[in-house]
Amino acid sequence: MLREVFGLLGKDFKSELRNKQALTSISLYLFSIILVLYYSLMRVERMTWTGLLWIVLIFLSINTVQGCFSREVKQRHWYIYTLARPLSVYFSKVLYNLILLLGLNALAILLIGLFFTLPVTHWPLFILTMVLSTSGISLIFTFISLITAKSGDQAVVMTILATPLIFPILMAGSRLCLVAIELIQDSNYYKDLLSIFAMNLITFALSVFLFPILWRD
Amino acid sequence: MVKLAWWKWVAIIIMPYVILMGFMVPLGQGIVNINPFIVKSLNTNTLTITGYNTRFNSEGKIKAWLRQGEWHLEADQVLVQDERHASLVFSIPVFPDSMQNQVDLSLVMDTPDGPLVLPSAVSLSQDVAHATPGFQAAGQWSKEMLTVREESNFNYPFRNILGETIRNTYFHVPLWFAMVMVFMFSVYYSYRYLRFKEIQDEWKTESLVAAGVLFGILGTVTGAIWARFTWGAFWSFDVKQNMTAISLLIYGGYFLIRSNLGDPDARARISSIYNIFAFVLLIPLIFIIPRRFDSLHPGSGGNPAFGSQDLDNTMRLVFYPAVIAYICIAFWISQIRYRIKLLYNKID
Repeated sequence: MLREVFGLLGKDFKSELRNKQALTSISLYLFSIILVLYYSLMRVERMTWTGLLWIVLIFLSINTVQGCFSREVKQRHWYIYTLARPLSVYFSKVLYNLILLLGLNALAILLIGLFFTLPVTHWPLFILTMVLSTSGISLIFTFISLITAKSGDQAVVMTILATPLIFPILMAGSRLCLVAIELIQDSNYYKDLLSIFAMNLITFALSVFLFPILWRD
Repeated sequence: MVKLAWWKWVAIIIMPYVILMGFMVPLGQGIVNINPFIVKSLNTNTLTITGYNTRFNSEGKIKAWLRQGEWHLEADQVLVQDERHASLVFSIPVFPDSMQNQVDLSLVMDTPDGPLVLPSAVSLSQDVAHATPGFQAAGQWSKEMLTVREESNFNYPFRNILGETIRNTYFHVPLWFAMVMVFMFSVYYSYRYLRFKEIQDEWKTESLVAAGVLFGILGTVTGAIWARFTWGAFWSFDVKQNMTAISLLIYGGYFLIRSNLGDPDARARISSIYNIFAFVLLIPLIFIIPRRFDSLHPGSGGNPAFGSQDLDNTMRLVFYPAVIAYICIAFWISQIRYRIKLLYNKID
Protein backbone atom coordinates (compact mmCIF):
# COMPACT_ATOMS: atom_id res chain seq x y z
CA MET A 1 0.00 0.00 0.00
CA LEU A 2 2.64 2.53 1.12
CA ARG A 3 4.90 1.54 -1.77
CA GLU A 4 1.99 1.95 -4.14
CA VAL A 5 1.24 5.44 -2.78
CA PHE A 6 4.84 6.58 -3.06
CA GLY A 7 5.21 4.99 -6.46
CA LEU A 8 2.20 6.90 -7.76
CA LEU A 9 3.40 10.05 -6.05
CA GLY A 10 6.82 9.70 -7.65
CA LYS A 11 5.19 9.11 -11.02
CA ASP A 12 3.11 12.29 -10.66
CA PHE A 13 6.12 14.38 -9.72
CA LYS A 14 8.28 12.88 -12.45
CA SER A 15 5.73 13.56 -15.16
CA GLU A 16 5.28 17.05 -13.76
CA LEU A 17 8.99 17.75 -13.80
CA ARG A 18 9.28 16.30 -17.27
CA ASN A 19 6.71 18.45 -19.04
CA LYS A 20 6.53 21.25 -16.41
CA GLN A 21 3.10 22.09 -17.77
CA ALA A 22 1.22 22.64 -14.53
CA LEU A 23 4.05 24.30 -12.66
CA THR A 24 4.89 26.86 -15.32
CA SER A 25 1.29 27.69 -16.12
CA ILE A 26 0.36 28.03 -12.46
CA SER A 27 3.40 30.15 -11.67
CA LEU A 28 2.61 32.42 -14.60
CA TYR A 29 -1.00 32.58 -13.46
CA LEU A 30 0.11 33.53 -9.96
CA PHE A 31 2.50 36.14 -11.25
CA SER A 32 -0.08 37.76 -13.50
CA ILE A 33 -2.72 37.80 -10.74
CA ILE A 34 -0.33 39.57 -8.41
CA LEU A 35 0.73 42.04 -11.11
CA VAL A 36 -2.91 42.85 -11.80
CA LEU A 37 -3.57 43.31 -8.11
CA TYR A 38 -0.48 45.46 -7.76
CA TYR A 39 -1.39 47.82 -10.58
CA SER A 40 -5.02 48.08 -9.50
CA LEU A 41 -4.38 48.49 -5.77
CA MET A 42 -0.80 49.82 -5.48
CA ARG A 43 -0.83 49.57 -1.70
CA VAL A 44 -3.15 47.72 0.65
CA GLU A 45 -4.48 48.24 4.13
CA ARG A 46 -4.07 45.35 6.55
CA MET A 47 -7.77 44.49 6.33
CA THR A 48 -7.57 44.27 2.54
CA TRP A 49 -4.35 42.30 2.78
CA THR A 50 -6.05 39.20 4.26
CA GLY A 51 -8.79 39.36 1.66
CA LEU A 52 -6.22 39.65 -1.10
CA LEU A 53 -4.21 36.74 0.30
CA TRP A 54 -7.25 34.47 0.44
CA ILE A 55 -8.46 35.38 -3.04
CA VAL A 56 -5.03 34.61 -4.46
CA LEU A 57 -4.75 31.35 -2.50
CA ILE A 58 -8.20 30.04 -3.39
CA PHE A 59 -8.05 30.72 -7.10
CA LEU A 60 -4.50 29.45 -7.20
CA SER A 61 -5.60 26.23 -5.50
CA ILE A 62 -8.60 25.77 -7.77
CA ASN A 63 -6.43 26.13 -10.84
CA THR A 64 -3.74 23.84 -9.48
CA VAL A 65 -5.96 21.00 -8.34
CA GLN A 66 -8.45 21.30 -11.17
CA GLY A 67 -7.94 18.56 -13.70
CA CYS A 68 -5.52 16.53 -11.58
CA PHE A 69 -7.52 13.42 -12.48
CA SER A 70 -8.05 14.15 -16.15
CA ARG A 71 -4.49 15.13 -17.03
CA GLU A 72 -3.43 11.55 -17.75
CA VAL A 73 -3.84 10.17 -21.21
CA LYS A 74 -6.64 7.62 -21.43
CA GLN A 75 -4.41 4.54 -21.70
CA ARG A 76 -2.26 5.46 -18.74
CA HIS A 77 -5.40 6.20 -16.73
CA TRP A 78 -6.69 2.68 -17.37
CA TYR A 79 -3.27 1.25 -16.63
CA ILE A 80 -3.25 2.87 -13.18
CA TYR A 81 -6.92 2.02 -12.75
CA THR A 82 -6.29 -1.68 -13.15
CA LEU A 83 -3.00 -1.75 -11.28
CA ALA A 84 -3.43 0.38 -8.17
CA ARG A 85 -5.90 0.23 -5.34
CA PRO A 86 -8.34 3.19 -5.29
CA LEU A 87 -7.21 4.34 -1.87
CA SER A 88 -3.57 4.52 -2.89
CA VAL A 89 -4.60 6.64 -5.85
CA TYR A 90 -6.48 8.87 -3.46
CA PHE A 91 -3.61 9.21 -0.97
CA SER A 92 -1.08 9.87 -3.68
CA LYS A 93 -3.25 12.55 -5.28
CA VAL A 94 -3.99 14.27 -1.97
CA LEU A 95 -0.31 14.23 -1.02
CA TYR A 96 0.70 15.47 -4.45
CA ASN A 97 -1.80 18.33 -4.31
CA LEU A 98 -0.86 19.15 -0.74
CA ILE A 99 2.87 19.38 -1.51
CA LEU A 100 2.24 21.36 -4.67
CA LEU A 101 -0.17 23.74 -2.93
CA LEU A 102 2.12 24.26 0.05
CA GLY A 103 4.95 25.20 -2.29
CA LEU A 104 2.78 27.45 -4.45
CA ASN A 105 1.17 29.11 -1.44
CA ALA A 106 4.59 29.85 0.01
CA LEU A 107 5.55 31.34 -3.34
CA ALA A 108 2.32 33.36 -3.40
CA ILE A 109 2.92 34.73 0.10
CA LEU A 110 6.49 35.57 -0.87
CA LEU A 111 5.34 37.42 -3.98
CA ILE A 112 2.65 39.26 -2.06
CA GLY A 113 5.30 40.25 0.48
CA LEU A 114 7.52 41.44 -2.36
CA PHE A 115 4.89 43.51 -4.13
CA PHE A 116 2.90 44.66 -1.13
CA THR A 117 3.76 44.08 2.52
CA LEU A 118 3.82 41.25 5.02
CA PRO A 119 2.03 42.64 8.06
CA VAL A 120 2.20 39.29 9.88
CA THR A 121 3.42 39.60 13.45
CA HIS A 122 2.43 36.22 14.83
CA TRP A 123 4.36 33.92 12.48
CA PRO A 124 3.82 30.52 14.14
CA LEU A 125 0.06 31.02 14.15
CA PHE A 126 0.11 32.28 10.58
CA ILE A 127 2.11 29.31 9.32
CA LEU A 128 -0.02 26.84 11.25
CA THR A 129 -3.17 28.44 9.80
CA MET A 130 -1.76 28.27 6.30
CA VAL A 131 -0.71 24.62 6.64
CA LEU A 132 -4.04 23.54 8.16
CA SER A 133 -6.21 25.40 5.69
CA THR A 134 -4.08 24.33 2.74
CA SER A 135 -4.47 20.71 3.75
CA GLY A 136 -8.22 21.20 4.13
CA ILE A 137 -8.39 22.85 0.74
CA SER A 138 -6.37 20.09 -0.90
CA LEU A 139 -8.60 17.42 0.70
CA ILE A 140 -11.83 19.04 -0.48
CA PHE A 141 -10.53 20.10 -3.88
CA THR A 142 -9.06 16.69 -4.69
CA PHE A 143 -12.43 15.08 -4.09
CA ILE A 144 -14.36 17.73 -6.01
CA SER A 145 -11.84 17.50 -8.82
CA LEU A 146 -12.64 13.81 -9.25
CA ILE A 147 -16.38 14.57 -9.20
CA THR A 148 -15.79 17.23 -11.85
CA ALA A 149 -13.68 14.85 -13.93
CA LYS A 150 -16.46 12.27 -13.78
CA SER A 151 -19.17 14.74 -14.70
CA GLY A 152 -18.07 16.29 -17.94
CA ASP A 153 -14.84 17.92 -16.78
CA GLN A 154 -15.64 21.59 -17.19
CA ALA A 155 -13.38 24.01 -15.33
CA VAL A 156 -16.30 26.20 -14.31
CA VAL A 157 -18.04 23.26 -12.60
CA MET A 158 -15.02 22.81 -10.35
CA THR A 159 -15.15 26.47 -9.30
CA ILE A 160 -18.88 26.38 -8.67
CA LEU A 161 -18.77 23.18 -6.64
CA ALA A 162 -15.60 23.84 -4.70
CA THR A 163 -16.00 27.45 -3.62
CA PRO A 164 -19.06 27.09 -1.35
CA LEU A 165 -17.65 23.92 0.20
CA ILE A 166 -14.49 25.56 1.51
CA PHE A 167 -16.39 28.40 3.15
CA PRO A 168 -16.04 27.05 6.71
CA ILE A 169 -12.28 26.84 6.23
CA LEU A 170 -12.20 30.24 4.60
CA MET A 171 -14.11 31.89 7.44
CA ALA A 172 -12.09 30.34 10.24
CA GLY A 173 -8.85 30.81 8.31
CA SER A 174 -9.33 34.47 7.47
CA ARG A 175 -10.29 35.15 11.07
CA LEU A 176 -7.07 33.47 12.20
CA CYS A 177 -5.16 35.56 9.67
CA LEU A 178 -6.64 38.70 11.18
CA VAL A 179 -5.44 37.50 14.57
CA ALA A 180 -1.99 36.75 13.13
CA ILE A 181 -1.61 40.28 11.73
CA GLU A 182 -2.99 41.64 15.02
CA LEU A 183 -5.92 43.40 13.46
CA ILE A 184 -8.28 41.75 15.92
CA GLN A 185 -7.70 40.44 19.41
CA ASP A 186 -9.08 37.01 20.15
CA SER A 187 -7.83 34.80 22.95
CA ASN A 188 -10.06 31.97 21.73
CA TYR A 189 -8.35 31.60 18.36
CA TYR A 190 -7.44 28.00 19.15
CA LYS A 191 -11.15 27.20 18.63
CA ASP A 192 -10.83 28.26 15.01
CA LEU A 193 -7.69 26.16 14.62
CA LEU A 194 -9.50 23.26 16.18
CA SER A 195 -12.52 23.64 13.90
CA ILE A 196 -10.32 23.68 10.77
CA PHE A 197 -8.52 20.61 12.07
CA ALA A 198 -11.83 18.85 12.79
CA MET A 199 -13.13 19.71 9.34
CA ASN A 200 -9.97 18.27 7.79
CA LEU A 201 -10.47 15.05 9.74
CA ILE A 202 -14.14 14.81 8.73
CA THR A 203 -13.32 15.48 5.07
CA PHE A 204 -10.53 12.93 5.16
CA ALA A 205 -12.69 10.20 6.72
CA LEU A 206 -15.51 10.94 4.31
CA SER A 207 -13.20 10.88 1.29
CA VAL A 208 -11.65 7.57 2.34
CA PHE A 209 -15.17 6.18 2.53
CA LEU A 210 -16.50 7.69 -0.70
CA PHE A 211 -13.48 7.85 -2.99
CA PRO A 212 -13.31 4.13 -3.90
CA ILE A 213 -17.00 4.16 -4.89
CA LEU A 214 -16.47 7.21 -7.03
CA TRP A 215 -13.23 5.96 -8.55
CA ARG A 216 -14.68 2.70 -9.82
CA ASP A 217 -16.80 3.33 -12.88
CA MET B 1 -62.82 9.09 1.88
CA VAL B 2 -59.24 9.76 0.89
CA LYS B 3 -56.78 7.21 2.13
CA LEU B 4 -53.74 8.94 3.52
CA ALA B 5 -50.83 7.85 5.64
CA TRP B 6 -51.15 8.84 9.30
CA TRP B 7 -48.39 11.42 9.18
CA LYS B 8 -50.23 13.28 6.45
CA TRP B 9 -53.26 13.47 8.72
CA VAL B 10 -50.93 14.84 11.37
CA ALA B 11 -49.89 17.62 8.98
CA ILE B 12 -53.50 18.29 7.90
CA ILE B 13 -54.70 18.59 11.47
CA ILE B 14 -51.78 20.51 12.92
CA MET B 15 -51.22 23.04 10.15
CA PRO B 16 -54.58 24.88 10.53
CA TYR B 17 -54.05 24.77 14.29
CA VAL B 18 -50.68 26.46 13.86
CA ILE B 19 -52.03 29.11 11.50
CA LEU B 20 -55.07 29.75 13.69
CA MET B 21 -53.14 29.90 16.95
CA GLY B 22 -50.30 31.78 15.31
CA PHE B 23 -52.51 34.60 14.15
CA MET B 24 -55.40 34.63 16.63
CA VAL B 25 -53.75 34.51 20.04
CA PRO B 26 -53.14 38.09 21.17
CA LEU B 27 -49.83 39.48 22.22
CA GLY B 28 -49.16 40.14 25.89
CA GLN B 29 -48.84 43.64 27.21
CA GLY B 30 -45.66 45.55 26.66
CA ILE B 31 -44.18 49.03 26.72
CA VAL B 32 -43.35 50.53 23.34
CA ASN B 33 -42.21 54.00 24.36
CA ILE B 34 -40.79 55.71 27.40
CA ASN B 35 -40.01 59.39 27.77
CA PRO B 36 -37.53 60.72 28.83
CA PHE B 37 -34.67 58.22 28.51
CA ILE B 38 -32.57 59.81 31.19
CA VAL B 39 -33.60 60.32 34.81
CA LYS B 40 -31.65 62.29 37.37
CA SER B 41 -30.98 61.28 40.94
CA LEU B 42 -31.87 63.70 43.75
CA ASN B 43 -34.76 64.92 41.57
CA THR B 44 -38.39 64.16 41.00
CA ASN B 45 -38.78 62.60 37.56
CA THR B 46 -41.97 62.04 35.62
CA LEU B 47 -41.81 59.23 33.06
CA THR B 48 -44.49 59.03 30.39
CA ILE B 49 -44.99 55.52 29.07
CA THR B 50 -46.93 54.20 26.10
CA GLY B 51 -48.14 50.65 26.42
CA TYR B 52 -49.09 48.04 23.86
CA ASN B 53 -52.13 45.84 24.50
CA THR B 54 -52.28 47.27 28.00
CA ARG B 55 -55.37 48.14 30.04
CA PHE B 56 -54.01 50.68 32.48
CA ASN B 57 -57.48 52.10 33.20
CA SER B 58 -59.03 48.82 34.26
CA GLU B 59 -59.90 47.99 37.86
CA GLY B 60 -57.00 47.30 40.18
CA LYS B 61 -53.98 49.09 41.47
CA ILE B 62 -50.88 49.57 39.31
CA LYS B 63 -47.43 49.73 40.83
CA ALA B 64 -44.09 50.53 39.18
CA TRP B 65 -40.46 50.10 40.10
CA LEU B 66 -37.10 51.07 38.68
CA ARG B 67 -34.69 48.22 39.11
CA GLN B 68 -30.97 47.52 38.80
CA GLY B 69 -29.64 44.18 40.00
CA GLU B 70 -31.37 43.41 43.27
CA TRP B 71 -32.05 47.06 44.09
CA HIS B 72 -35.39 48.61 43.28
CA LEU B 73 -37.28 51.82 43.95
CA GLU B 74 -41.04 52.16 43.94
CA ALA B 75 -42.82 54.95 42.09
CA ASP B 76 -44.42 57.60 44.28
CA GLN B 77 -47.43 57.90 42.01
CA VAL B 78 -48.88 56.19 38.96
CA LEU B 79 -51.13 58.55 36.98
CA VAL B 80 -53.23 56.73 34.41
CA GLN B 81 -54.37 58.75 31.38
CA ASP B 82 -56.04 56.09 29.27
CA GLU B 83 -55.63 52.41 28.60
CA ARG B 84 -52.30 52.87 26.80
CA HIS B 85 -50.81 55.93 28.45
CA ALA B 86 -49.65 56.54 31.99
CA SER B 87 -47.23 58.77 33.86
CA LEU B 88 -44.97 57.47 36.59
CA VAL B 89 -43.55 59.83 39.18
CA PHE B 90 -40.27 58.79 40.75
CA SER B 91 -38.33 60.79 43.29
CA ILE B 92 -34.93 59.19 43.14
CA PRO B 93 -32.32 59.17 45.89
CA VAL B 94 -28.68 58.43 45.01
CA PHE B 95 -28.24 54.86 43.80
CA PRO B 96 -26.38 53.12 46.62
CA ASP B 97 -24.40 50.43 44.88
CA SER B 98 -22.53 52.03 42.02
CA MET B 99 -19.64 54.47 41.78
CA GLN B 100 -20.47 55.17 38.15
CA ASN B 101 -22.14 58.27 36.86
CA GLN B 102 -24.57 56.32 34.68
CA VAL B 103 -26.70 53.45 35.92
CA ASP B 104 -28.90 51.38 33.62
CA LEU B 105 -32.35 50.88 35.10
CA SER B 106 -35.12 48.52 34.10
CA LEU B 107 -38.77 49.36 34.53
CA VAL B 108 -40.94 46.78 36.26
CA MET B 109 -44.70 47.23 36.55
CA ASP B 110 -47.35 45.27 38.31
CA THR B 111 -50.77 45.46 36.66
CA PRO B 112 -53.95 43.44 37.09
CA ASP B 113 -53.11 41.66 33.80
CA GLY B 114 -49.70 40.58 35.04
CA PRO B 115 -46.16 41.93 35.20
CA LEU B 116 -44.64 44.33 32.67
CA VAL B 117 -40.89 44.56 32.24
CA LEU B 118 -38.86 46.90 30.08
CA PRO B 119 -35.15 46.05 30.31
CA SER B 120 -32.71 49.00 30.19
CA ALA B 121 -35.64 51.38 30.18
CA VAL B 122 -33.89 54.52 31.39
CA SER B 123 -30.42 55.48 32.42
CA LEU B 124 -29.89 57.20 35.72
CA SER B 125 -27.57 60.19 35.76
CA GLN B 126 -25.92 60.56 39.16
CA ASP B 127 -24.47 64.01 38.57
CA VAL B 128 -24.70 65.98 41.85
CA ALA B 129 -24.79 69.28 39.98
CA HIS B 130 -28.33 68.54 38.81
CA ALA B 131 -29.64 67.96 42.34
CA THR B 132 -32.73 69.86 43.40
CA PRO B 133 -31.97 71.89 46.57
CA GLY B 134 -33.79 70.57 49.58
CA PHE B 135 -34.78 67.35 47.84
CA GLN B 136 -36.59 64.80 49.98
CA ALA B 137 -37.18 61.37 48.53
CA ALA B 138 -40.47 59.70 49.32
CA GLY B 139 -39.16 56.17 48.76
CA GLN B 140 -35.84 54.45 49.28
CA TRP B 141 -33.82 51.95 47.23
CA SER B 142 -34.55 48.57 48.77
CA LYS B 143 -33.55 44.96 48.33
CA GLU B 144 -36.81 43.34 49.41
CA MET B 145 -38.40 40.78 47.14
CA LEU B 146 -40.74 42.26 44.55
CA THR B 147 -44.14 40.64 44.50
CA VAL B 148 -46.18 40.99 41.34
CA ARG B 149 -49.47 39.49 40.19
CA GLU B 150 -49.33 36.48 37.89
CA GLU B 151 -49.95 36.71 34.18
CA SER B 152 -53.63 35.91 33.85
CA ASN B 153 -54.29 35.89 30.08
CA PHE B 154 -53.39 33.41 27.38
CA ASN B 155 -51.03 35.29 25.08
CA TYR B 156 -47.59 35.47 23.52
CA PRO B 157 -44.89 37.47 25.26
CA PHE B 158 -44.17 40.98 24.10
CA ARG B 159 -40.51 41.30 23.12
CA ASN B 160 -39.00 44.65 22.44
CA ILE B 161 -38.07 44.83 18.78
CA LEU B 162 -40.15 41.80 17.80
CA GLY B 163 -43.63 43.05 18.67
CA GLU B 164 -46.28 41.29 16.62
CA THR B 165 -43.65 39.69 14.37
CA ILE B 166 -42.98 37.15 17.12
CA ARG B 167 -45.66 35.07 15.38
CA ASN B 168 -43.18 34.44 12.57
CA THR B 169 -41.40 32.06 14.94
CA TYR B 170 -43.99 29.45 13.92
CA PHE B 171 -43.53 30.01 10.20
CA HIS B 172 -39.81 30.70 9.86
CA VAL B 173 -37.94 28.55 12.38
CA PRO B 174 -39.70 25.20 11.66
CA LEU B 175 -38.73 25.53 7.99
CA TRP B 176 -35.09 25.05 8.99
CA PHE B 177 -35.90 22.06 11.16
CA ALA B 178 -37.77 20.51 8.25
CA MET B 179 -34.97 21.33 5.82
CA VAL B 180 -32.27 19.68 7.92
CA MET B 181 -34.51 16.66 8.53
CA VAL B 182 -35.23 16.22 4.83
CA PHE B 183 -31.54 16.57 3.93
CA MET B 184 -30.69 13.94 6.53
CA PHE B 185 -33.10 11.49 4.96
CA SER B 186 -31.76 12.31 1.50
CA VAL B 187 -28.31 11.31 2.76
CA TYR B 188 -29.78 8.06 4.03
CA TYR B 189 -31.28 7.29 0.62
CA SER B 190 -28.02 8.27 -1.09
CA TYR B 191 -26.27 5.74 1.09
CA ARG B 192 -28.92 3.15 0.26
CA TYR B 193 -28.49 3.80 -3.43
CA LEU B 194 -24.72 3.35 -3.24
CA ARG B 195 -25.26 0.17 -1.25
CA PHE B 196 -28.07 -1.54 -3.14
CA LYS B 197 -28.01 0.28 -6.49
CA GLU B 198 -31.77 0.63 -6.76
CA ILE B 199 -32.73 3.60 -8.90
CA GLN B 200 -35.82 4.31 -6.78
CA ASP B 201 -33.60 5.32 -3.90
CA GLU B 202 -31.91 7.83 -6.15
CA TRP B 203 -35.27 9.32 -7.15
CA LYS B 204 -36.15 9.56 -3.48
CA THR B 205 -32.87 11.34 -2.80
CA GLU B 206 -33.48 13.86 -5.55
CA SER B 207 -37.05 14.53 -4.42
CA LEU B 208 -35.96 15.01 -0.83
CA VAL B 209 -33.15 17.37 -1.80
CA ALA B 210 -35.55 19.36 -3.98
CA ALA B 211 -38.03 19.66 -1.09
CA GLY B 212 -35.18 20.67 1.22
CA VAL B 213 -34.00 23.36 -1.17
CA LEU B 214 -37.57 24.63 -1.51
CA PHE B 215 -37.84 24.87 2.27
CA GLY B 216 -34.45 26.54 2.42
CA ILE B 217 -35.56 29.20 -0.06
CA LEU B 218 -38.82 29.71 1.85
CA GLY B 219 -36.86 29.99 5.09
CA THR B 220 -34.59 32.60 3.58
CA VAL B 221 -37.55 34.59 2.28
CA THR B 222 -39.53 34.47 5.54
CA GLY B 223 -36.34 35.32 7.39
CA ALA B 224 -35.64 38.28 5.11
CA ILE B 225 -39.17 39.63 5.61
CA TRP B 226 -38.83 39.18 9.35
CA ALA B 227 -35.45 40.91 9.29
CA ARG B 228 -36.95 43.85 7.40
CA PHE B 229 -39.37 44.53 10.24
CA THR B 230 -37.02 43.88 13.15
CA TRP B 231 -33.43 44.57 12.11
CA GLY B 232 -34.40 47.13 9.47
CA ALA B 233 -33.18 45.53 6.25
CA PHE B 234 -34.05 42.47 4.19
CA TRP B 235 -30.45 41.36 4.21
CA SER B 236 -28.07 42.52 6.89
CA PHE B 237 -25.18 40.13 6.11
CA ASP B 238 -25.72 38.35 9.36
CA VAL B 239 -23.55 35.24 9.54
CA LYS B 240 -26.52 32.87 9.48
CA GLN B 241 -28.06 34.61 6.49
CA ASN B 242 -24.80 34.23 4.61
CA MET B 243 -24.45 30.60 5.64
CA THR B 244 -27.89 29.76 4.30
CA ALA B 245 -27.03 31.43 1.03
CA ILE B 246 -23.89 29.31 0.85
CA SER B 247 -25.70 26.09 1.70
CA LEU B 248 -28.22 26.82 -1.04
CA LEU B 249 -25.24 27.27 -3.39
CA ILE B 250 -23.89 23.88 -2.30
CA TYR B 251 -27.19 22.21 -3.14
CA GLY B 252 -27.29 24.17 -6.37
CA GLY B 253 -24.11 22.24 -7.16
CA TYR B 254 -26.05 19.02 -6.66
CA PHE B 255 -28.48 19.96 -9.41
CA LEU B 256 -25.64 21.23 -11.58
CA ILE B 257 -23.93 17.83 -11.46
CA ARG B 258 -27.20 16.11 -12.31
CA SER B 259 -27.87 18.32 -15.29
CA ASN B 260 -24.32 17.77 -16.56
CA LEU B 261 -24.64 14.00 -16.69
CA GLY B 262 -26.76 12.26 -19.25
CA ASP B 263 -26.20 8.66 -18.24
CA PRO B 264 -28.73 7.83 -15.46
CA ASP B 265 -26.40 5.42 -13.63
CA ALA B 266 -23.44 7.79 -13.55
CA ARG B 267 -25.78 10.62 -12.59
CA ALA B 268 -27.24 8.62 -9.75
CA ARG B 269 -23.88 7.50 -8.42
CA ILE B 270 -22.01 10.77 -8.65
CA SER B 271 -24.85 12.94 -7.37
CA SER B 272 -25.41 10.53 -4.46
CA ILE B 273 -21.75 10.74 -3.52
CA TYR B 274 -21.81 14.52 -3.81
CA ASN B 275 -24.95 14.66 -1.68
CA ILE B 276 -23.30 12.79 1.18
CA PHE B 277 -20.14 14.86 0.87
CA ALA B 278 -22.07 18.14 0.77
CA PHE B 279 -24.29 17.31 3.72
CA VAL B 280 -21.40 16.39 5.98
CA LEU B 281 -19.59 19.61 5.09
CA LEU B 282 -22.84 21.49 5.67
CA ILE B 283 -22.84 20.55 9.35
CA PRO B 284 -19.87 22.73 10.34
CA LEU B 285 -21.21 25.46 8.06
CA ILE B 286 -24.58 25.65 9.81
CA PHE B 287 -23.89 24.49 13.33
CA ILE B 288 -20.25 25.19 14.21
CA ILE B 289 -18.89 28.20 12.35
CA PRO B 290 -21.76 30.65 13.10
CA ARG B 291 -21.18 30.19 16.83
CA ARG B 292 -17.79 31.84 16.52
CA PHE B 293 -19.22 34.96 14.94
CA ASP B 294 -21.46 37.70 16.25
CA SER B 295 -24.95 37.31 14.99
CA LEU B 296 -28.27 39.06 15.26
CA HIS B 297 -29.96 35.68 15.52
CA PRO B 298 -30.63 34.22 18.93
CA GLY B 299 -28.35 31.29 19.65
CA SER B 300 -25.10 32.89 18.50
CA GLY B 301 -22.20 34.29 20.45
CA GLY B 302 -22.43 31.24 22.70
CA ASN B 303 -26.06 31.70 23.74
CA PRO B 304 -28.42 28.75 23.77
CA ALA B 305 -30.90 28.98 20.94
CA PHE B 306 -34.10 27.78 22.47
CA GLY B 307 -33.74 28.68 26.10
CA SER B 308 -36.52 30.07 28.24
CA GLN B 309 -35.57 33.53 26.94
CA ASP B 310 -36.91 32.87 23.46
CA LEU B 311 -39.87 30.60 23.95
CA ASP B 312 -42.35 30.71 26.79
CA ASN B 313 -44.82 27.98 27.59
CA THR B 314 -47.60 29.46 25.46
CA MET B 315 -45.34 29.60 22.45
CA ARG B 316 -44.15 26.04 22.99
CA LEU B 317 -47.79 24.93 22.65
CA VAL B 318 -47.70 26.13 19.05
CA PHE B 319 -44.03 25.89 18.13
CA TYR B 320 -43.40 22.19 18.68
CA PRO B 321 -46.53 21.09 16.76
CA ALA B 322 -45.49 23.49 14.01
CA VAL B 323 -42.11 21.77 13.73
CA ILE B 324 -43.81 18.39 13.40
CA ALA B 325 -46.28 19.68 10.83
CA TYR B 326 -43.60 21.30 8.69
CA ILE B 327 -41.48 18.15 8.69
CA CYS B 328 -44.51 16.09 7.60
CA ILE B 329 -45.30 18.59 4.84
CA ALA B 330 -41.71 18.53 3.58
CA PHE B 331 -41.86 14.74 3.30
CA TRP B 332 -45.26 14.98 1.66
CA ILE B 333 -43.97 17.38 -1.00
CA SER B 334 -40.97 15.19 -1.70
CA GLN B 335 -43.21 12.14 -1.94
CA ILE B 336 -45.40 13.81 -4.54
CA ARG B 337 -42.29 14.67 -6.56
CA TYR B 338 -41.08 11.10 -6.25
CA ARG B 339 -44.42 9.74 -7.46
CA ILE B 340 -44.35 12.08 -10.46
CA LYS B 341 -40.92 10.65 -11.30
CA LEU B 342 -42.32 7.13 -11.00
CA LEU B 343 -45.17 7.97 -13.38
CA TYR B 344 -42.83 9.57 -15.91
CA ASN B 345 -40.73 6.45 -15.76
CA LYS B 346 -43.79 4.29 -16.49
CA ILE B 347 -44.57 6.40 -19.56
CA ASP B 348 -41.02 6.20 -20.96
